[in-house]
Amino acid sequence: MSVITIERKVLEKNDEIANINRTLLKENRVFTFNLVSSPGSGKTSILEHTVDHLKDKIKLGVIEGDVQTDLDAQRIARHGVPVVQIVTRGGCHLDAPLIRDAINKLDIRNLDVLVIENVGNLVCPANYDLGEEVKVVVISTTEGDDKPLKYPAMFRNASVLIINKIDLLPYVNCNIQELIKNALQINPKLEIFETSCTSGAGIESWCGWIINRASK
Amino acid sequence: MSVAKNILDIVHEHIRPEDETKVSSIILKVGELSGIVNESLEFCFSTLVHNTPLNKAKLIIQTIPISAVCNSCNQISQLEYGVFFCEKCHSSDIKLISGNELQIEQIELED
Repeated sequence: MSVITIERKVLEKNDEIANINRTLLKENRVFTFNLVSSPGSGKTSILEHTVDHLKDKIKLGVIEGDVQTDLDAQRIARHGVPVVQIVTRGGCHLDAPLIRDAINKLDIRNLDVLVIENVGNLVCPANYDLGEEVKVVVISTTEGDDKPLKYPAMFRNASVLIINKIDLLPYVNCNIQELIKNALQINPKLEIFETSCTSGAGIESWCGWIINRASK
Repeated sequence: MSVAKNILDIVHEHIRPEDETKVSSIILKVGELSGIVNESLEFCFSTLVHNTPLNKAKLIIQTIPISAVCNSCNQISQLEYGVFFCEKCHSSDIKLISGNELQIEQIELED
């Protein structure tokens, strides 16, 4: 028997392209974050509110990832910012080559912030670097307070946690203090925002974080 | 499935086409935090190599535990899945040193 030593990362091609994306975005001074969550946590709704709040202050662009349809891109486009839809046709996550192609369709010289809305999934997107600066994970109160413990890799890799649908807290079985405790147990460095897209609560302070990061 | 495809792409870069039928195993290091379900990866891999010259190749997965060094007391802890604090001083200010691996270590060929 003969043995060939390899010692290569399985996702090295993805990581190489992610680094190229990151360099290109940094050279153009575009602050980029990767928005991840389960399906239905409210990523697109948060983005719609974010765009409305920020579009007169900074230049935003959006890359939308979905398994099927361009419905989310249509929703974002109605708010008057450039958006590119990626349809993965069954793929459960975005990868760096898909983002490279999407970036080429955007005028990044003319952007301050790029938001990548990933496919709704808390597993695979944790492993695929896209070239973003940070990951922002969204969890909604309807998903229960134990979610960070069930998906530790994603919560460990994220820098920001948005707890969405806080207007529903009186009606759902979710203890927000327990949720925050669980999230910080996985990642004590998480910055946390509590939002509701129905009442608009918390959107302003979340948008303040974006402006702060974009101006660094 | 895309992970299994990436593994095969790397194997093809190292093995000449005429040697593919000799590949007996591919040794893979998989960290417990890598998000890989071994059975799913093995299934995807076997589906991709079915009826190809690589159909005798077995995927051998070595699971790598999650471990971390404490930034407060320098203790190295082996962590259970989802528990992120130092086993000695219980500080949560720790740096992961293993558990995220997803790497092909070696390929074994029959003579």
